[in-house]
Amino acid sequence: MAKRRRSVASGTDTTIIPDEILVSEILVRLPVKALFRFRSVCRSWRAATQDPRFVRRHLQLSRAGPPSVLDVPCEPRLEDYWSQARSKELEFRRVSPGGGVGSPPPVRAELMLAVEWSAGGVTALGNPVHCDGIVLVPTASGELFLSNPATRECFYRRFDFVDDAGGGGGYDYDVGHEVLTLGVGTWEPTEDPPYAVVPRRPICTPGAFYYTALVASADDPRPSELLRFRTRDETFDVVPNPPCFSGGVIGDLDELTELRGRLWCAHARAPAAVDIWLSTDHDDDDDLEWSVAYRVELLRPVKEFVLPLAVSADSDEVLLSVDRRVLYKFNAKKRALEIVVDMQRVPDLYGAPKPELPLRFLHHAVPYVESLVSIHRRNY
Amino acid sequence: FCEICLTNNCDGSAGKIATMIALVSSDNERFEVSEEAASQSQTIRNMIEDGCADGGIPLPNVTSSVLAKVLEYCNKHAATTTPDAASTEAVIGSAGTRAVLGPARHGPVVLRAVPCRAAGRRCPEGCRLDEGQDAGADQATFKIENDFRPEDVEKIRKENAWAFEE
Repeated sequence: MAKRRRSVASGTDTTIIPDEILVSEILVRLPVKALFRFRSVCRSWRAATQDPRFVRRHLQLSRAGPPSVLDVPCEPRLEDYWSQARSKELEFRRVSPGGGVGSPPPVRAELMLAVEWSAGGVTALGNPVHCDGIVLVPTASGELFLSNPATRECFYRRFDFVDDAGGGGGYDYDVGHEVLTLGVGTWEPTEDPPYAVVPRRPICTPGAFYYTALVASADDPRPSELLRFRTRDETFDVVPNPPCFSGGVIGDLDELTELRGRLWCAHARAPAAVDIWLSTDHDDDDDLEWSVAYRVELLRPVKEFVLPLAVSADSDEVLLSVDRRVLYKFNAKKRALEIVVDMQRVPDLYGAPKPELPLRFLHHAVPYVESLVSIHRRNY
Repeated sequence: FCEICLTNNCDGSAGKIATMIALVSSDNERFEVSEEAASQSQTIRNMIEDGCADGGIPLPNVTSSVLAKVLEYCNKHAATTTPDAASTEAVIGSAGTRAVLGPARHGPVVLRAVPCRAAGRRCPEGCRLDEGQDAGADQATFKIENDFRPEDVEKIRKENAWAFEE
Protein backbone atom coordinates (compact mmCIF):
# COMPACT_ATOMS: atom_id res chain seq x y z
CA MET A 1 0.00 0.00 0.00
CA ALA A 2 1.32 3.41 -0.84
CA LYS A 3 2.18 5.47 2.16
CA ARG A 4 -0.47 8.03 2.90
CA ARG A 5 0.43 11.49 3.87
CA ARG A 6 -2.26 13.25 5.77
CA SER A 7 -3.04 16.66 4.56
CA VAL A 8 -6.27 18.45 4.46
CA ALA A 9 -7.90 19.53 1.24
CA SER A 10 -8.25 23.22 1.07
CA GLY A 11 -11.80 24.40 1.41
CA THR A 12 -11.47 27.31 -0.94
CA ASP A 13 -10.88 25.80 -4.33
CA THR A 14 -13.58 23.25 -4.68
CA THR A 15 -15.52 21.79 -7.53
CA ILE A 16 -19.02 20.83 -6.75
CA ILE A 17 -20.58 17.49 -7.54
CA PRO A 18 -24.32 18.04 -7.61
CA ASP A 19 -26.17 16.29 -4.85
CA GLU A 20 -28.39 14.30 -7.22
CA ILE A 21 -25.39 12.77 -8.93
CA LEU A 22 -23.77 12.03 -5.65
CA VAL A 23 -26.81 10.16 -4.51
CA SER A 24 -28.02 8.54 -7.71
CA GLU A 25 -24.64 7.53 -9.10
CA ILE A 26 -22.33 7.13 -6.17
CA LEU A 27 -24.20 6.43 -2.94
CA VAL A 28 -26.39 3.89 -4.68
CA ARG A 29 -23.34 1.75 -5.36
CA LEU A 30 -22.12 1.61 -1.81
CA PRO A 31 -22.33 -1.31 0.57
CA VAL A 32 -25.21 -1.18 3.00
CA LYS A 33 -22.95 -0.71 5.99
CA ALA A 34 -21.45 2.43 4.50
CA LEU A 35 -24.90 3.84 3.81
CA PHE A 36 -25.87 3.36 7.43
CA ARG A 37 -22.80 5.31 8.47
CA PHE A 38 -23.86 8.14 6.22
CA ARG A 39 -27.30 8.54 7.65
CA SER A 40 -26.06 11.26 9.96
CA VAL A 41 -24.29 13.27 7.27
CA CYS A 42 -27.29 15.36 6.35
CA ARG A 43 -31.05 15.10 6.03
CA SER A 44 -31.17 14.62 2.32
CA TRP A 45 -28.75 11.71 2.49
CA ARG A 46 -30.79 10.01 5.15
CA ALA A 47 -33.99 10.57 3.19
CA ALA A 48 -32.44 9.40 -0.05
CA THR A 49 -31.26 6.09 1.36
CA GLN A 50 -34.76 5.34 2.59
CA ASP A 51 -36.49 6.25 -0.65
CA PRO A 52 -37.96 3.25 -2.52
CA ARG A 53 -36.41 4.27 -5.81
CA PHE A 54 -33.00 4.36 -4.18
CA VAL A 55 -33.58 0.99 -2.54
CA ARG A 56 -34.66 -0.56 -5.84
CA ARG A 57 -31.73 0.82 -7.78
CA HIS A 58 -29.34 -0.20 -5.03
CA LEU A 59 -30.71 -3.74 -5.21
CA GLN A 60 -30.42 -3.79 -8.98
CA LEU A 61 -26.76 -2.79 -8.81
CA SER A 62 -26.14 -5.19 -5.97
CA ARG A 63 -27.50 -8.05 -8.07
CA ALA A 64 -25.17 -7.16 -10.91
CA GLY A 65 -22.12 -7.21 -8.66
CA PRO A 66 -19.89 -10.13 -7.74
CA PRO A 67 -21.81 -13.06 -6.28
CA SER A 68 -21.70 -13.88 -2.62
CA VAL A 69 -23.04 -16.62 -0.47
CA LEU A 70 -24.76 -16.48 2.87
CA ASP A 71 -23.92 -19.25 5.29
CA VAL A 72 -26.15 -20.07 8.25
CA PRO A 73 -24.24 -22.61 10.34
CA CYS A 74 -26.18 -25.13 12.42
CA GLU A 75 -24.90 -27.51 15.09
CA PRO A 76 -25.43 -31.18 14.26
CA ARG A 77 -26.73 -31.70 17.79
CA LEU A 78 -29.87 -29.78 16.83
CA GLU A 79 -30.59 -32.25 14.06
CA ASP A 80 -29.88 -35.25 16.26
CA TYR A 81 -32.51 -33.99 18.67
CA TRP A 82 -34.86 -32.63 16.08
CA SER A 83 -37.17 -29.97 17.44
CA GLN A 84 -36.01 -30.61 20.98
CA ALA A 85 -32.46 -29.31 21.23
CA ARG A 86 -32.03 -25.58 20.93
CA SER A 87 -29.20 -23.24 20.18
CA LYS A 88 -29.00 -19.81 21.73
CA GLU A 89 -27.22 -18.41 18.72
CA LEU A 90 -28.06 -17.89 15.11
CA GLU A 91 -25.42 -16.48 12.81
CA PHE A 92 -25.38 -15.18 9.31
CA ARG A 93 -21.99 -15.16 7.66
CA ARG A 94 -21.22 -13.89 4.22
CA VAL A 95 -18.73 -15.98 2.29
CA SER A 96 -17.06 -14.31 -0.65
CA PRO A 97 -15.19 -16.63 -2.96
CA GLY A 98 -12.14 -14.53 -3.63
CA GLY A 99 -10.92 -13.65 -7.05
CA GLY A 100 -7.35 -14.17 -5.95
CA VAL A 101 -4.85 -16.77 -6.97
CA GLY A 102 -3.74 -19.73 -4.99
CA SER A 103 -4.94 -23.26 -4.78
CA PRO A 104 -7.56 -23.23 -3.49
CA PRO A 105 -8.24 -19.53 -4.11
CA PRO A 106 -8.70 -17.50 -0.95
CA VAL A 107 -12.14 -17.16 0.57
CA ARG A 108 -13.31 -14.48 2.93
CA ALA A 109 -15.95 -15.07 5.52
CA GLU A 110 -17.49 -12.20 7.39
CA LEU A 111 -19.88 -12.37 10.29
CA MET A 112 -22.79 -10.17 9.28
CA LEU A 113 -25.20 -10.75 12.06
CA ALA A 114 -25.20 -12.80 15.25
CA VAL A 115 -28.49 -13.17 17.04
CA GLU A 116 -28.54 -14.38 20.61
CA TRP A 117 -31.30 -15.47 22.86
CA SER A 118 -30.97 -15.33 26.61
CA ALA A 119 -33.68 -17.95 26.96
CA GLY A 120 -35.03 -20.39 24.44
CA GLY A 121 -33.41 -20.24 21.08
CA VAL A 122 -33.81 -22.00 17.77
CA THR A 123 -34.21 -25.67 17.04
CA ALA A 124 -32.71 -27.37 14.01
CA LEU A 125 -32.64 -25.09 10.99
CA GLY A 126 -34.52 -25.94 7.85
CA ASN A 127 -33.20 -24.97 4.44
CA PRO A 128 -33.08 -21.19 4.31
CA VAL A 129 -34.40 -19.23 1.36
CA HIS A 130 -33.23 -15.86 0.13
CA CYS A 131 -34.82 -13.20 -1.96
CA ASP A 132 -33.55 -9.69 -2.61
CA GLY A 133 -31.39 -9.46 0.47
CA ILE A 134 -33.89 -10.99 2.86
CA VAL A 135 -33.28 -14.43 4.30
CA LEU A 136 -35.88 -16.70 5.80
CA VAL A 137 -34.86 -19.52 8.09
CA PRO A 138 -37.49 -22.00 9.18
CA THR A 139 -36.86 -24.24 12.15
CA ALA A 140 -37.81 -27.75 13.13
CA SER A 141 -40.25 -26.54 15.75
CA GLY A 142 -42.15 -24.39 13.29
CA GLU A 143 -40.56 -21.03 13.90
CA LEU A 144 -39.73 -18.49 11.27
CA PHE A 145 -36.71 -16.31 11.47
CA LEU A 146 -36.57 -13.55 8.92
CA SER A 147 -33.71 -11.16 8.53
CA ASN A 148 -31.96 -8.68 6.33
CA PRO A 149 -28.45 -9.40 7.57
CA ALA A 150 -27.02 -6.29 5.96
CA THR A 151 -29.35 -3.86 7.69
CA ARG A 152 -29.64 -6.13 10.75
CA GLU A 153 -33.42 -6.12 10.79
CA CYS A 154 -34.92 -9.26 12.29
CA PHE A 155 -38.34 -10.78 12.64
CA TYR A 156 -39.16 -13.90 14.58
CA ARG A 157 -42.42 -15.74 14.81
CA ARG A 158 -43.64 -19.02 16.09
CA PHE A 159 -46.28 -21.05 14.37
CA ASP A 160 -48.30 -24.04 15.28
CA PHE A 161 -48.11 -26.36 12.39
CA VAL A 162 -49.40 -29.70 11.52
CA ASP A 163 -46.71 -30.29 8.93
CA ASP A 164 -43.31 -28.70 9.11
CA ALA A 165 -42.43 -26.96 5.93
CA GLY A 166 -40.54 -23.94 4.76
CA GLY A 167 -42.24 -21.18 2.84
CA GLY A 168 -41.02 -18.03 1.26
CA GLY A 169 -43.61 -15.89 2.85
CA GLY A 170 -46.05 -18.60 1.84
CA TYR A 171 -46.71 -21.61 3.94
CA ASP A 172 -48.37 -24.87 3.47
CA TYR A 173 -50.73 -25.89 6.18
CA ASP A 174 -52.38 -29.06 5.15
CA VAL A 175 -53.58 -27.77 1.83
CA GLY A 176 -54.04 -24.20 2.83
CA HIS A 177 -51.75 -21.37 1.85
CA GLU A 178 -51.21 -18.07 3.53
CA VAL A 179 -49.05 -15.16 2.63
CA LEU A 180 -47.40 -12.76 4.98
CA THR A 181 -46.65 -9.48 3.32
CA LEU A 182 -43.81 -7.77 5.03
CA GLY A 183 -44.75 -4.35 6.24
CA VAL A 184 -48.40 -5.31 6.38
CA GLY A 185 -48.01 -7.72 9.22
CA THR A 186 -50.82 -10.24 9.04
CA TRP A 187 -51.09 -13.59 7.37
CA GLU A 188 -53.75 -13.59 4.72
CA PRO A 189 -55.06 -16.78 3.28
CA THR A 190 -54.99 -17.14 -0.44
CA GLU A 191 -56.67 -19.62 -2.67
CA ASP A 192 -55.78 -23.16 -1.79
CA PRO A 193 -53.00 -24.77 -3.74
CA PRO A 194 -54.43 -27.33 -6.15
CA TYR A 195 -52.08 -30.01 -4.95
CA ALA A 196 -50.41 -30.97 -1.72
CA VAL A 197 -47.18 -29.13 -1.30
CA VAL A 198 -44.25 -31.19 -0.20
CA PRO A 199 -41.97 -30.02 2.61
CA ARG A 200 -39.14 -28.94 0.39
CA ARG A 201 -37.30 -25.68 0.03
CA PRO A 202 -39.33 -23.53 -2.36
CA ILE A 203 -37.93 -21.14 -4.92
CA CYS A 204 -38.61 -17.52 -4.03
CA THR A 205 -38.52 -14.75 -6.55
CA PRO A 206 -40.19 -11.35 -6.31
CA GLY A 207 -42.71 -12.46 -8.93
CA ALA A 208 -43.54 -15.96 -7.78
CA PHE A 209 -42.96 -18.79 -5.37
CA TYR A 210 -42.42 -22.25 -6.75
CA TYR A 211 -43.33 -25.27 -4.69
CA THR A 212 -42.91 -28.92 -5.34
CA ALA A 213 -46.28 -30.54 -5.06
CA LEU A 214 -47.62 -34.02 -5.32
CA VAL A 215 -50.12 -34.41 -8.05
CA ALA A 216 -51.82 -37.07 -6.12
CA SER A 217 -54.21 -39.49 -7.55
CA ALA A 218 -55.69 -42.31 -5.56
CA ASP A 219 -53.55 -45.02 -7.08
CA ASP A 220 -50.33 -43.19 -7.89
CA PRO A 221 -49.36 -40.36 -5.59
CA ARG A 222 -45.81 -40.20 -6.89
CA PRO A 223 -45.55 -37.75 -9.75
CA SER A 224 -44.55 -34.32 -8.58
CA GLU A 225 -45.17 -31.02 -10.26
CA LEU A 226 -43.92 -27.55 -9.84
CA LEU A 227 -46.57 -25.27 -8.51
CA ARG A 228 -46.18 -21.61 -9.19
CA PHE A 229 -47.83 -19.04 -6.99
CA ARG A 230 -47.78 -15.65 -8.67
CA THR A 231 -47.57 -12.87 -6.16
CA ARG A 232 -49.09 -10.36 -8.52
CA ASP A 233 -52.51 -11.93 -8.68
CA GLU A 234 -52.10 -14.55 -5.95
CA THR A 235 -53.05 -17.49 -8.11
CA PHE A 236 -51.59 -20.92 -8.52
CA ASP A 237 -50.75 -22.66 -11.72
CA VAL A 238 -48.62 -25.62 -12.69
CA VAL A 239 -45.36 -25.31 -14.56
CA PRO A 240 -43.42 -28.22 -16.00
CA ASN A 241 -40.75 -30.03 -14.04
CA PRO A 242 -37.41 -30.62 -15.68
CA PRO A 243 -37.79 -33.75 -17.80
CA CYS A 244 -34.92 -35.48 -16.00
CA PHE A 245 -37.00 -36.62 -13.07
CA SER A 246 -37.45 -40.35 -13.30
CA GLY A 247 -41.06 -41.22 -13.04
CA GLY A 248 -41.73 -37.51 -12.89
CA VAL A 249 -40.73 -37.34 -9.24
CA ILE A 250 -38.08 -35.02 -7.96
CA GLY A 251 -35.17 -37.00 -6.56
CA ASP A 252 -34.25 -36.88 -2.91
CA LEU A 253 -30.89 -35.38 -3.72
CA ASP A 254 -32.23 -32.86 -6.20
CA GLU A 255 -32.51 -29.15 -5.53
CA LEU A 256 -34.37 -26.30 -7.14
CA THR A 257 -33.30 -22.71 -7.00
CA GLU A 258 -33.32 -19.45 -8.93
CA LEU A 259 -30.31 -17.57 -10.26
CA ARG A 260 -30.19 -14.61 -12.60
CA GLY A 261 -33.83 -14.78 -13.49
CA ARG A 262 -33.95 -18.45 -14.38
CA LEU A 263 -35.00 -21.52 -12.47
CA TRP A 264 -32.25 -24.01 -11.84
CA CYS A 265 -32.48 -27.67 -11.01
CA ALA A 266 -29.52 -29.70 -9.85
CA HIS A 267 -30.42 -33.29 -10.56
CA ALA A 268 -28.35 -36.20 -9.32
CA ARG A 269 -28.41 -38.48 -12.34
CA ALA A 270 -26.04 -40.89 -10.63
CA PRO A 271 -24.54 -40.76 -7.12
CA ALA A 272 -21.57 -38.65 -8.21
CA ALA A 273 -22.97 -37.08 -11.37
CA VAL A 274 -25.11 -34.00 -11.27
CA ASP A 275 -26.87 -32.50 -14.26
CA ILE A 276 -27.88 -28.91 -13.93
CA TRP A 277 -30.98 -27.91 -15.81
CA LEU A 278 -32.00 -24.36 -16.50
CA SER A 279 -35.36 -22.98 -17.40
CA THR A 280 -35.76 -20.54 -20.25
CA ASP A 281 -35.42 -16.90 -19.43
CA HIS A 282 -38.93 -15.98 -18.51
CA ASP A 283 -41.22 -13.65 -16.71
CA ASP A 284 -42.99 -15.31 -13.91
CA ASP A 285 -46.04 -15.13 -16.12
CA ASP A 286 -44.93 -17.28 -18.99
CA ASP A 287 -44.58 -20.92 -19.71
CA LEU A 288 -41.15 -22.29 -19.26
CA GLU A 289 -39.00 -25.01 -20.73
CA TRP A 290 -36.00 -26.75 -19.33
CA SER A 291 -32.70 -27.77 -20.88
CA VAL A 292 -29.44 -29.17 -19.57
CA ALA A 293 -26.82 -26.52 -19.06
CA TYR A 294 -24.07 -28.23 -17.12
CA ARG A 295 -22.96 -31.78 -16.40
CA VAL A 296 -20.85 -32.03 -13.29
CA GLU A 297 -18.84 -35.02 -12.16
CA LEU A 298 -18.36 -34.85 -8.44
CA LEU A 299 -15.43 -36.26 -6.53
CA ARG A 300 -17.59 -38.41 -4.34
CA PRO A 301 -21.25 -39.38 -4.12
CA VAL A 302 -23.73 -36.78 -2.95
CA LYS A 303 -25.26 -37.54 0.43
CA GLU A 304 -27.73 -34.72 0.92
CA PHE A 305 -28.00 -32.37 -2.03
CA VAL A 306 -26.18 -30.14 -4.47
CA LEU A 307 -27.28 -26.52 -4.53
CA PRO A 308 -26.09 -24.06 -7.20
CA LEU A 309 -25.27 -20.79 -5.49
CA ALA A 310 -23.94 -18.49 -8.16
CA VAL A 311 -23.06 -18.29 -11.81
CA SER A 312 -20.54 -16.03 -13.45
CA ALA A 313 -21.73 -13.37 -15.87
CA ASP A 314 -20.43 -15.32 -18.86
CA SER A 315 -22.10 -18.48 -17.53
CA ASP A 316 -18.84 -20.38 -17.60
CA GLU A 317 -18.44 -20.87 -13.89
CA VAL A 318 -20.94 -22.15 -11.37
CA LEU A 319 -20.52 -22.10 -7.62
CA LEU A 320 -22.02 -25.17 -5.95
CA SER A 321 -22.70 -26.08 -2.36
CA VAL A 322 -22.52 -29.82 -1.72
CA ASP A 323 -23.90 -31.59 1.31
CA ARG A 324 -23.96 -28.43 3.41
CA ARG A 325 -20.26 -28.66 3.70
CA VAL A 326 -18.14 -27.89 0.65
CA LEU A 327 -18.22 -25.09 -1.89
CA TYR A 328 -17.04 -26.02 -5.36
CA LYS A 329 -16.47 -24.01 -8.47
CA PHE A 330 -17.34 -25.77 -11.70
CA ASN A 331 -15.84 -24.44 -14.90
CA ALA A 332 -17.93 -25.52 -17.84
CA LYS A 333 -15.34 -24.72 -20.49
CA LYS A 334 -12.55 -26.65 -18.86
CA ARG A 335 -14.98 -29.20 -17.43
CA ALA A 336 -13.11 -28.84 -14.19
CA LEU A 337 -14.34 -28.96 -10.64
CA GLU A 338 -12.32 -27.08 -8.11
CA ILE A 339 -12.81 -26.94 -4.39
CA VAL A 340 -13.34 -23.44 -3.07
CA VAL A 341 -13.62 -24.22 0.60
CA ASP A 342 -14.48 -27.13 2.82
CA MET A 343 -16.40 -25.25 5.44
CA GLN A 344 -16.11 -27.96 8.02
CA ARG A 345 -12.35 -28.15 7.78
CA VAL A 346 -11.69 -24.51 8.20
CA PRO A 347 -12.94 -23.26 11.54
CA ASP A 348 -10.55 -20.35 11.09
CA LEU A 349 -12.77 -19.16 8.31
CA TYR A 350 -15.14 -18.02 10.95
CA GLY A 351 -12.64 -16.54 13.31
CA ALA A 352 -13.96 -18.57 16.19
CA PRO A 353 -11.59 -19.79 18.86
CA LYS A 354 -10.88 -23.42 18.16
CA PRO A 355 -13.30 -25.52 20.16
CA GLU A 356 -11.82 -28.44 22.04
CA LEU A 357 -13.75 -31.05 20.18
CA PRO A 358 -14.07 -30.58 16.46
CA LEU A 359 -17.52 -29.15 16.05
CA ARG A 360 -18.71 -30.08 12.63
CA PHE A 361 -21.28 -27.53 11.76
CA LEU A 362 -23.72 -28.00 8.97
CA HIS A 363 -23.47 -25.03 6.67
CA HIS A 364 -26.68 -23.92 5.11
CA ALA A 365 -25.51 -21.88 2.18
CA VAL A 366 -27.78 -19.75 0.02
CA PRO A 367 -27.03 -17.26 -2.73
CA TYR A 368 -27.05 -13.78 -1.34
CA VAL A 369 -27.41 -10.24 -2.57
CA GLU A 370 -27.09 -7.28 -0.25
CA SER A 371 -30.00 -4.89 -0.11
CA LEU A 372 -31.68 -2.16 1.89
CA VAL A 373 -35.09 -3.79 1.63
CA SER A 374 -36.82 -3.43 4.95
CA ILE A 375 -38.76 -6.11 6.79
CA HIS A 376 -40.69 -3.71 8.91
CA ARG A 377 -41.55 -0.88 6.54
CA ARG A 378 -42.46 -0.70 2.88
CA ASN A 379 -39.38 0.84 1.34
CA TYR A 380 -39.24 -1.10 -1.86
CA PHE B 1 17.84 29.55 -12.35
CA CYS B 2 15.82 28.07 -15.20
CA GLU B 3 15.15 30.25 -18.19
CA ILE B 4 12.15 28.24 -19.30
CA CYS B 5 9.99 28.16 -16.23
CA LEU B 6 11.64 31.18 -14.66
CA THR B 7 12.14 29.63 -11.23
CA ASN B 8 15.05 28.50 -9.14
CA ASN B 9 13.65 25.07 -8.40
CA CYS B 10 12.94 23.78 -11.84
CA ASP B 11 12.51 20.02 -12.08
CA GLY B 12 13.10 19.98 -15.76
CA SER B 13 9.55 19.23 -16.72
CA ALA B 14 8.63 22.66 -18.02
CA GLY B 15 10.15 22.12 -21.44
CA LYS B 16 8.61 18.72 -21.95
CA ILE B 17 5.56 18.16 -24.05
CA ALA B 18 2.77 17.04 -21.81
CA THR B 19 1.55 13.56 -22.73
CA MET B 20 -2.18 13.30 -22.89
CA ILE B 21 -4.19 10.29 -21.79
CA ALA B 22 -7.79 9.67 -22.73
CA LEU B 23 -10.26 8.55 -20.09
CA VAL B 24 -13.53 7.22 -21.40
CA SER B 25 -16.65 7.51 -19.28
CA SER B 26 -19.49 5.00 -19.16
CA ASP B 27 -21.48 7.03 -21.68
CA ASN B 28 -18.53 6.97 -24.05
CA GLU B 29 -17.34 10.52 -23.66
CA ARG B 30 -13.59 10.92 -23.99
CA PHE B 31 -11.73 13.21 -21.65
CA GLU B 32 -8.18 14.16 -22.50
CA VAL B 33 -6.05 14.76 -19.46
CA SER B 34 -2.39 15.22 -18.93
CA GLU B 35 -0.57 12.07 -17.95
CA GLU B 36 0.54 13.80 -14.82
CA ALA B 37 -2.99 14.56 -13.74
CA ALA B 38 -4.22 11.06 -14.57
CA SER B 39 -1.31 9.52 -12.72
CA GLN B 40 -2.66 10.70 -9.44
CA SER B 41 -4.62 7.48 -9.58
CA GLN B 42 -2.37 4.57 -8.79
CA THR B 43 -4.42 2.32 -11.02
CA ILE B 44 -4.22 4.60 -14.01
CA ARG B 45 -0.55 5.11 -13.42
CA ASN B 46 -0.02 1.34 -13.47
CA MET B 47 -1.93 1.07 -16.70
CA ILE B 48 0.13 3.81 -18.28
CA GLU B 49 3.35 2.17 -17.15
CA ASP B 50 2.19 -1.19 -18.44
CA GLY B 51 1.40 0.34 -21.78
CA CYS B 52 -2.32 -0.35 -21.55
CA ALA B 53 -3.45 3.21 -21.91
CA ASP B 54 -2.95 3.64 -25.62
CA GLY B 55 -6.52 3.41 -26.79
CA GLY B 56 -7.87 5.32 -23.86
CA ILE B 57 -8.74 4.01 -20.43
CA PRO B 58 -12.35 2.93 -20.00
CA LEU B 59 -14.07 3.78 -16.74
CA PRO B 60 -17.27 1.83 -17.21
CA ASN B 61 -18.85 2.81 -13.98
CA VAL B 62 -18.18 6.50 -13.97
CA THR B 63 -20.51 8.74 -15.92
CA SER B 64 -19.25 11.75 -17.81
CA SER B 65 -20.76 14.21 -15.34
CA VAL B 66 -18.89 12.68 -12.40
CA LEU B 67 -15.71 12.25 -14.37
CA ALA B 68 -15.75 15.87 -15.45
CA LYS B 69 -15.77 17.05 -11.86
CA VAL B 70 -13.10 14.62 -10.82
CA LEU B 71 -10.81 15.73 -13.59
CA GLU B 72 -11.34 19.39 -12.88
CA TYR B 73 -9.95 18.79 -9.44
CA CYS B 74 -7.12 16.57 -10.66
CA ASN B 75 -6.01 19.11 -13.20
CA LYS B 76 -5.90 21.78 -10.55
CA HIS B 77 -3.82 19.66 -8.25
CA ALA B 78 -1.56 17.77 -10.65
CA ALA B 79 1.17 20.34 -10.49
CA THR B 80 1.16 20.65 -6.76
CA THR B 81 1.30 17.01 -5.70
CA THR B 82 4.01 14.46 -6.16
CA PRO B 83 2.92 11.00 -7.32
CA ASP B 84 3.27 9.53 -3.86
CA ALA B 85 1.20 12.11 -2.11
CA ALA B 86 -1.83 10.82 -3.90
CA SER B 87 -3.88 10.31 -0.79
CA THR B 88 -5.22 13.35 0.88
CA GLU B 89 -7.83 12.50 3.37
CA ALA B 90 -10.80 14.72 3.42
CA VAL B 91 -14.17 14.67 4.99
CA ILE B 92 -17.78 14.97 4.24
CA GLY B 93 -19.86 16.76 6.74
CA SER B 94 -18.76 18.14 10.02
CA ALA B 95 -20.20 15.30 12.04
CA GLY B 96 -16.89 13.59 12.26
CA THR B 97 -17.53 11.16 9.46
CA ARG B 98 -14.98 10.91 6.74
CA ALA B 99 -16.16 9.64 3.46
CA VAL B 100 -13.99 8.23 0.79
CA LEU B 101 -15.00 8.05 -2.82
CA GLY B 102 -13.44 5.73 -5.27
CA PRO B 103 -13.56 4.49 -8.82
CA ALA B 104 -12.55 0.87 -8.76
CA ARG B 105 -10.89 -0.45 -11.82
CA HIS B 106 -13.54 -2.80 -13.04
CA GLY B 107 -16.15 -2.25 -10.48
CA PRO B 108 -18.50 0.33 -9.17
CA VAL B 109 -17.55 3.56 -7.54
CA VAL B 110 -17.02 2.71 -3.95
CA LEU B 111 -17.50 5.02 -1.07
CA ARG B 112 -15.97 4.10 2.24
CA ALA B 113 -16.44 5.92 5.44
CA VAL B 114 -13.88 5.98 8.16
CA PRO B 115 -14.93 7.44 11.44
CA CYS B 116 -13.09 10.62 12.16
CA ARG B 117 -10.91 10.03 15.20
CA ALA B 118 -11.20 13.51 16.51
CA ALA B 119 -14.92 13.92 16.26
CA GLY B 120 -16.03 17.44 16.72
CA ARG B 121 -13.02 18.82 14.97
CA ARG B 122 -14.17 21.16 12.29
CA CYS B 123 -13.03 19.48 9.10
CA PRO B 124 -13.21 21.02 5.68
CA GLU B 125 -15.53 19.16 3.37
CA GLY B 126 -14.35 17.12 0.51
CA CYS B 127 -13.54 13.56 -0.18
CA ARG B 128 -10.81 11.30 -1.29
CA LEU B 129 -11.09 8.98 -4.20
CA ASP B 130 -9.55 5.66 -3.51
CA GLU B 131 -9.76 2.29 -5.11
CA GLY B 132 -11.13 -0.49 -2.98
CA GLN B 133 -8.22 -2.09 -1.22
CA ASP B 134 -5.50 -0.32 -3.17
CA ALA B 135 -4.30 3.11 -2.31
CA GLY B 136 -4.62 4.77 -5.68
CA ALA B 137 -6.33 8.07 -5.49
CA ASP B 138 -8.02 10.59 -7.63
CA GLN B 139 -9.43 13.57 -5.90
CA ALA B 140 -12.63 15.41 -6.05
CA THR B 141 -14.20 17.75 -3.63
CA PHE B 142 -17.70 18.68 -2.85
CA LYS B 143 -19.38 20.51 -0.05
CA ILE B 144 -22.04 19.07 2.14
CA GLU B 145 -23.59 20.99 4.93
CA ASN B 146 -24.85 18.96 7.80
CA ASP B 147 -28.33 20.21 8.59
CA PHE B 148 -28.95 17.93 11.53
CA ARG B 149 -28.79 19.24 15.06
CA PRO B 150 -25.83 17.78 16.95
CA GLU B 151 -28.12 15.83 19.25
CA ASP B 152 -29.89 14.28 16.23
CA VAL B 153 -26.57 13.32 14.72
CA GLU B 154 -25.67 11.64 17.98
CA LYS B 155 -28.99 9.81 18.09
CA ILE B 156 -28.68 8.52 14.55
CA ARG B 157 -25.14 7.43 15.09
CA LYS B 158 -26.12 5.57 18.22
CA GLU B 159 -28.96 3.80 16.44
CA ASN B 160 -26.56 2.64 13.81
CA ALA B 161 -23.56 2.13 16.03
CA TRP B 162 -22.93 -1.30 14.55
CA ALA B 163 -22.18 0.28 11.20
CA PHE B 164 -19.25 2.12 12.69
CA GLU B 165 -17.55 -0.96 14.01
CA GLU B 166 -14.80 -2.20 11.76
